[in-house]
Amino acid sequence: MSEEQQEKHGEFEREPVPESKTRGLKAFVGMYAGEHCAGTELMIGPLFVAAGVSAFDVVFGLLIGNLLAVLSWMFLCAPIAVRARMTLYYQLEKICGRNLVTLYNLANGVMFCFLAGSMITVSATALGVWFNFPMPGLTDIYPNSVGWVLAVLGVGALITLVAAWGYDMVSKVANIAAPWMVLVFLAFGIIGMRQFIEVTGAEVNSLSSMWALCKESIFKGGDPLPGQVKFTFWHVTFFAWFANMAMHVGMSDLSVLRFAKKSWHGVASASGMYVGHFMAWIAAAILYSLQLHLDPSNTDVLPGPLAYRAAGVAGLVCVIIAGWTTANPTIYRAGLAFQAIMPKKSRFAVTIGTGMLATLAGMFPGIAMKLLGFVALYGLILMPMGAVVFTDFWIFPKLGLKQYYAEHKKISINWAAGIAWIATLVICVALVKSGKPQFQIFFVSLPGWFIASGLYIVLSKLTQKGDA
Amino acid sequence: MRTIAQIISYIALILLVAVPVLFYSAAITLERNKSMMLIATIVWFISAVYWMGKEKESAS
Repeated sequence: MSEEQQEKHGEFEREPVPESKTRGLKAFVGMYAGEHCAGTELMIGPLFVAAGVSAFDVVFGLLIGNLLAVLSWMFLCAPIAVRARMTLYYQLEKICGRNLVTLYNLANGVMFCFLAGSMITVSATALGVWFNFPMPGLTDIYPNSVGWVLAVLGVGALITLVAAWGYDMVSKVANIAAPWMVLVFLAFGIIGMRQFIEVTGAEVNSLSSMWALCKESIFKGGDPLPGQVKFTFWHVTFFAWFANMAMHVGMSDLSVLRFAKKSWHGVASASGMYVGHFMAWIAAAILYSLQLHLDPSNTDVLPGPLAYRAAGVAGLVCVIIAGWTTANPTIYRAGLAFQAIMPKKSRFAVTIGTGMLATLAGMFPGIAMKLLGFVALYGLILMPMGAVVFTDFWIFPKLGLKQYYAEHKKISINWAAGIAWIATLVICVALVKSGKPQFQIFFVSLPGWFIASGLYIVLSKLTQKGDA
Repeated sequence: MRTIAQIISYIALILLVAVPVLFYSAAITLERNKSMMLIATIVWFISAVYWMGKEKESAS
């Protein structure tokens, strides 16, 4: 297929990205900052407070966890992305075979749809402030009003149309909104701190007095809210590290970073981590903590009202756009996943279908309200295939094993990869079910990565035995 | 024209941060803070769409 045809078909989904189409660091800084400074941050920050985090745990846990995430992008994902310059889906097809990758793409696309759905949920809470329809509470799973369904439908349709327009359109929207959005999130934190000072009567005139306010009033630690898991320093660290596990360790961002000129451009992810997953999470947590301080019975995590109380209409617009710019690349990625299953369909048509599925998921607030657990589960499900890609790319040549085995043997399923994936998930679920605190869903992906890599090597040695 | 749009955009961003800082130091009310942030938002999107779009076109 010629380059021109490739561009008409999509964006080099089944060919390496040519050097002429690579992009500089700046494009990725804007994209990551926009994508990770998102509506869901307004859910995660409050859920930390609901989980009873202390000030030390949240600040230092996030600093270290986000550093580990950036290093994962830089040293696991980006080096393969700039060498192979292929989408994750195409690379997996060469390793795993068409049938197995179809199953993986289905799982991946569905998880992306649920994630995008929770982002649409967040944006819809902003419309609730304007149109005053009943909104879901912390324990709600199903849609609870016609107004809610219509709001999600409206937001979802808009997001889907933009995502269907392609990477450049997505990138343009994210780039324009990113600087503004980052500063609105910062404003949330500043305004929330001031309101805390007013309601507590605390005197804050130095860093130490601000830290005291954080420890005593904002992040008090102690027991979590009913129904929530208690979060410690380790929970926060691992959550921050693995919040985007599917993208770095799981290699989904091969599809994004294949456009990077250099592998160190993976450092651009730091813009998303420290702005979105540090500053924005803390800012959102402050707003929710203030809500609890004023009315301990109001445990609803609703980004729209939280933002509106702090920053008025600008806050509401921020919630809508923050959800939008995150859902855009997520729907785009899900579209890529589904298109790998149906390569003859246009990416436009596939993305429209994907967006409709995400919109449907967004109508169920249960996903967004259980976001901490969902994010950890999502990373766990996709992680083993990241380990397979890593092992296949770096370790197989050193062990004399054949890379891209399915392509080499022209087989539709590489059982070594398939069993490694499923067996890893079964082992990890068993570990979680054991009830031991070190194997909670938030931690189990770390041993899981080594289990997946080890299984893939051992099984490949068996399946490739006798191959020339 | 592009340069003017850029300058206006940056002023909007500065306003977006300056206003909450003024609220933090108790120099303005929360209501004033909200309305000023809305103005900064409108100005940003009108001006940034103009020059950020142009920047991308000329670079590609």
